[in-house]
Amino acid sequence: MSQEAPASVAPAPAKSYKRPAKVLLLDRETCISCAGCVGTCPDLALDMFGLDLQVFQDKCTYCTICVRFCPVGALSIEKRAPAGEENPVLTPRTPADFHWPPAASAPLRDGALS
Amino acid sequence: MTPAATIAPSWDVVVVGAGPSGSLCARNLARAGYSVLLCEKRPVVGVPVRCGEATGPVKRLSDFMTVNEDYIETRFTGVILNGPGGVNIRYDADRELGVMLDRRLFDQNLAQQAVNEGAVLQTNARVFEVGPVVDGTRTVRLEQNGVTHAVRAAMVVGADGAESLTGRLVGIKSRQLPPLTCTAIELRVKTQDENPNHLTFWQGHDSINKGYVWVFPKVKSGVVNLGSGELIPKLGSRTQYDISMEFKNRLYPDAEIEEVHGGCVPVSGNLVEYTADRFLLCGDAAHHTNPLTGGGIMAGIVGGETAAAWIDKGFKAGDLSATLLKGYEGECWTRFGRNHAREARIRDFVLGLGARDQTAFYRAFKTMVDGKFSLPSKLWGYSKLGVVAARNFGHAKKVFRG
Repeated sequence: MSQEAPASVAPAPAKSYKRPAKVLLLDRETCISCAGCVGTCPDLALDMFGLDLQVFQDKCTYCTICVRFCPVGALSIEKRAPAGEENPVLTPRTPADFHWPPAASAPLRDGALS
Repeated sequence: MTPAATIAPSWDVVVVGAGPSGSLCARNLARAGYSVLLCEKRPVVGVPVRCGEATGPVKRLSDFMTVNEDYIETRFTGVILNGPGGVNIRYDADRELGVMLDRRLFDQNLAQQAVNEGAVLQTNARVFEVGPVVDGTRTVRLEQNGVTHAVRAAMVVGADGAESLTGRLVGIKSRQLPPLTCTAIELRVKTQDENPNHLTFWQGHDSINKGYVWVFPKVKSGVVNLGSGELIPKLGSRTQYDISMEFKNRLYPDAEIEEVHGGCVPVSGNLVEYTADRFLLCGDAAHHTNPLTGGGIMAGIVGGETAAAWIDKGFKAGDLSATLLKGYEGECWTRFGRNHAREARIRDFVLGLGARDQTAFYRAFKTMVDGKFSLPSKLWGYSKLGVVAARNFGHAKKVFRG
């Protein structure tokens, strides 16, 4: 699953504006978990859980700041597919280039932590 | 670093984020005898690395900690700056200008120092709520491995980096605003640079104007950190990944990429306000990052130390109100914030120049560097800089005013 499921979009509460028929797509294959977008989002619609970035569609106002920020182009705003249809699945650009997760299990040098 | 089974419900200080700033603050507070909880949302401290890993010299680092040679990768003695119009500035110093760190080991070492002093480190612990002050404590809610804990803390320190949420939960305007935030990516390339003792930069209209590309050699690990960072660009611009890959293909076409990491660099200079009652921010969360270079390790460490000193002062005075913690903001301003503000102006001036004037600026700077900052070279260089400034009088006035 390399995109946010559009089915999980919560019905918008009674607001003075109509929610645009858009969706913030996250390409998980491309994302490098740098979490920078979390700090730029004005609506707290993005958050990191461990090394996993989550998108909260109901909070997103499609301001595109995170899309502009993303250094690998993993985020994009697309037109939401009409009900019953699937949004286009984002294909990872060059998955082989993104070595993720990094060598978290790489051995530490002796005495490095003392 | 195994998480304890339960988390005690009451603490003197809760530090959110086990980066250099948070760990140093936690270490100093634990050393002063306070009970400290250090929360880290990632499973492993220091992974993934989020920066270029260059910082000041060992001499300066050792003011704050015992420096362990294991995480010192390279001691660089020079800087190469490739400006616009083919102006290449090469500065060789006869002393150590700074070091390249292995940030994973560095962060883990600092966190370990905090633990050795008595702080309790919890990894995988994501703080998602910082409550208001009730009876002299704030309630911090954190989630660890699916279990929610609520702890009370007399003081909360937000050191959760550029993507700080704790500040915003308390009502501090710490969001990264687009014109003053850099997006950055770094490729760890398995190769050796021809200048292993130099940091190399590309900046200006010929490469990228709103930021720079860097090559930082890490000799001990046999890798080169090649990265690029830029003020958040317009929609549809080239991503930093593309820019870095272009430089990688140009410089090291055959080398293998070991890892890709990125991040967000606050380059606004210190926040106007980053303390509240029984709460303060330090490190990247308080935008303690050098706005010219984007380096934040040293300022984060200084900020962490200052924060610990002021919290100690506050506990002793029995007053941790925003009024007392204003003193912390003031001390950060005098220790590095003032310099950062000045450097931000220099940056704004250089980035706002046209191609011709930017080249003239770099050429004047090169005169001074090549002349080893001797009096004649300085006079010549400053007069040329004066010409550039005069030609862009309106821009200079706008940037340096007030």
